[in-house]
Amino acid sequence: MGLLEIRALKTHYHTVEGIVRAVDEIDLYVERGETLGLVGESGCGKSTVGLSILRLVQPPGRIAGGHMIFDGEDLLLKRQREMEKIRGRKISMVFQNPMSSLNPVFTIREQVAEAIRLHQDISRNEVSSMVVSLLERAGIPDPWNRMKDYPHEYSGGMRQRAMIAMAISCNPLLLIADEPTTSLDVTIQAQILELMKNLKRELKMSTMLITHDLGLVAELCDRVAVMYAGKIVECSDVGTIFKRPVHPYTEALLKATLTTLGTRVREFYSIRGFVPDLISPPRGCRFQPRCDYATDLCSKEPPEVEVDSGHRVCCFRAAQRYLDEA
Amino acid sequence: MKHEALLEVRSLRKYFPARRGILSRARWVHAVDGASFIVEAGETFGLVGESGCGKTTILRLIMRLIEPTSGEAIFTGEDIFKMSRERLKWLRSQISMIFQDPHSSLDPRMTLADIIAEPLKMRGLRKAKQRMKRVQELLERVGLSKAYVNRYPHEFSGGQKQRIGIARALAVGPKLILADEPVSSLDLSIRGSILNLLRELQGELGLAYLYVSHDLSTVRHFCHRTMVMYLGKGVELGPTDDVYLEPLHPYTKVLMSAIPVPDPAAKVTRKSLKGEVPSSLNPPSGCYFHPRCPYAIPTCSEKEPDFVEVKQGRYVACHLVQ
Amino acid sequence: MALLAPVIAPEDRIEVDLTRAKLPPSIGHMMGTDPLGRDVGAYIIWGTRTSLMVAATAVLLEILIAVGVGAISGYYRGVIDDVLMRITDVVLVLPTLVLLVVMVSMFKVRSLLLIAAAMAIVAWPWMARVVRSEFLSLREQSFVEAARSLGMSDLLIIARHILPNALSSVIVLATIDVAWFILYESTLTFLGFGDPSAISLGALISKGRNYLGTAWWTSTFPGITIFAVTLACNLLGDGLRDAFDVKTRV
Repeated sequence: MGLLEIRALKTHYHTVEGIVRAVDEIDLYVERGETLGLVGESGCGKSTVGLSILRLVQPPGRIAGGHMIFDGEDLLLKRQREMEKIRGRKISMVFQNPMSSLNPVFTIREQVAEAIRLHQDISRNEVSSMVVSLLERAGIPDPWNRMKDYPHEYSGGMRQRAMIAMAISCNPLLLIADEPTTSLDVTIQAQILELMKNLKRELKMSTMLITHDLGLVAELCDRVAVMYAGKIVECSDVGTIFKRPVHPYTEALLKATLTTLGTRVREFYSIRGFVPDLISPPRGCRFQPRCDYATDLCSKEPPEVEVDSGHRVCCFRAAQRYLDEA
Repeated sequence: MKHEALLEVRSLRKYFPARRGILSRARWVHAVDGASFIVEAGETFGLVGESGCGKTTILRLIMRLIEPTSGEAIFTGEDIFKMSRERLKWLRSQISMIFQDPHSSLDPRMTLADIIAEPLKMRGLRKAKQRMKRVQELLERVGLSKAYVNRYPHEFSGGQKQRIGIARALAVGPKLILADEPVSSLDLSIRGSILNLLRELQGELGLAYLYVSHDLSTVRHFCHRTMVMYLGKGVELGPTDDVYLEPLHPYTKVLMSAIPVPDPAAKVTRKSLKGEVPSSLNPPSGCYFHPRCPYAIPTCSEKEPDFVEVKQGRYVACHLVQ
Repeated sequence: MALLAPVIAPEDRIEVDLTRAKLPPSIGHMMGTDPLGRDVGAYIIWGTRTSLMVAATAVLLEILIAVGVGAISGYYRGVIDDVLMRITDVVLVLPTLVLLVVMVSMFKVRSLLLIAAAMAIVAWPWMARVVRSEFLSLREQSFVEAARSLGMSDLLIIARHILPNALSSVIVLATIDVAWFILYESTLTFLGFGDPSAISLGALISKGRNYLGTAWWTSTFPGITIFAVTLACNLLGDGLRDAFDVKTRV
């Protein structure tokens, strides 16, 4: 049984202009010990998925339906008190911008200690050594002295390490990382990437990596779910997604991704059209207006097809080819 | 075939005073600390580096939005920093700029027509009809309908706003466009169309671009030649293919290996880099990169390496390579 | 259309105040007469007009000073910003009413213009702060940098790009201040510092003070009017701000 199983999750934002269907009935699962990549561009709803799992969605947003079974229990049925015990302890989250996630008026030591003591009953003396070992694990040099610093005295990379230290302090079962390296420099990003790889090996915790960077996904993730306009369009293991993508959007994303290797590109690939408005998305398949293979069929809700074991796609064309091959 | 040098930057330096208390010594942030390069007519020249390397400051210096501490920037034979006010007005019709954030680079209270016509007004194009005609031409050139002239920026998407910014930059008919991360804030799926547009315009109009970015992958495919910067200095320069595929400077090597590869089957051997970028308030002695360099030798901490041509068109600042 | 309604309606109300004697219903003397036999209703209409004019003058003066100070402070920063902000702090610290009273009593001649000027002097620091903070954030926007790269002078940039964008805050604050000024002017007149021969709401309230028991309407109706006008100003402010906001134009 998977660690986290999300079924038919819906999260909507009720704004003045209308209901933004940020997450519109998605199915996802994360196994124990695996890293799932949730990939998509800005506005596709992936960050909302992360917030929904921890039930951190603020009004005017609310979870409108579905089930989130975590470690055997439905998170949507839990009370606030119970969720508070889960957050930081069983499921942690690391955010994109470490500067705004850290309180500027408290030292790093105080903040990591707070994360620890919220969930564990540890004496003050022991907390300090725990903080040091956590910071060390997160790769912060000279932790005994550096923990007395304030966030603004840390560089971006170190702040993110501090956030990671806080997130793993209670050995969570699931870590949700929302664009953890987007605001960092390339070389620092590489360091955090290595850190996350090491932690993955050492702690054997599951991770949900929410990002738009396909390079990160290729290096860190075991499985990938591709999200577009509030829906999951394709989900499979990482090798298949990169080498044998089926959904047109996945194909297009891969074509649009540039690498520093290989020969120079003659013409840059671009997907025509715009990201749809989540208040009134296109009827049927949401990618249809921009899809090179679209047919009339696509104005109906596309079926989910399991083209291979563990490889699911929501696309009429995929369904057709699957039937043809069967 | 000799290429004409459009812009030549020589040993450019810009130090900003660091604010400290009244009693302590004046300290300086070495934002740009000796950068030299040439941009040829009609080419795309990339400036890459991490935050704090000085690439954006160089753009500001070339536009003369700030004054240099020392150094020269020679544009078609004249030093930009010695130009009179009159001459600077002319310069502004030769060099224009595109900005990173499409959402804040357009005045929200002005219509597209106003925004694009503004440079024309500054250049003295008095007749409103002529201006409007040019505005419409420009809009169509960048792929937007001329019916949009009276709309406001907030009605458009990020990609479209960036096109408007490009139209504005083209208005005066410049020879060189300074591009500050023009596609970094755009979604992956639409970056391509903006880059294609820029390339087309380059072909049609013979424009040169000075393209600043921290996104190494884009620069790899978009720029003809590239210079890598570290802590205000140029460390390596050459044709993009060479710099990327056969980097000479240790920092370049580390930089190239740091980028995550979007291929799960690829074996990643990463050269790890120790520590953090040092502060530009107090740069290290000798070669700025030596404290983090995996190949450092004693000379590196004592003497600053010169930025010299080691092969045809290839410049490196490293004792080991020279 | 709905967005323009708040703009139209309060304007109507003010128009009504100024031109026609139509407020509370009645025949003849709707609000009674004051001890000297003057029709309270008519008095209120004239008085409101006066009060509004005084308040408007004060606000205009205030805007002039505040925008000047705020713009220079916010745009140029550095030493001049520090100096200007310290001056602002000094004025802010002093208690408003006391300051007003002191200023007005320094002059032998009592006039409403004097009150208007005094109120402007007392109120500008607050608005200057707001203008300054708008300027501080707007000057960092890249469209300002874009304008500079075109070769625009500072003055042009401030006038054409920054000020129009800072306008909405100024307008809202201005309408709130109009309301405050009406109150202050009434208070000052009530306390006896106003022009004795001028007709204003404050004057009426003050005159009716002694007759609250017998001819209550003399003070009450002007009081209600002040409340109504204040409310109208605030609504007008909201409406104006929405009307100026380019994003809500259809």
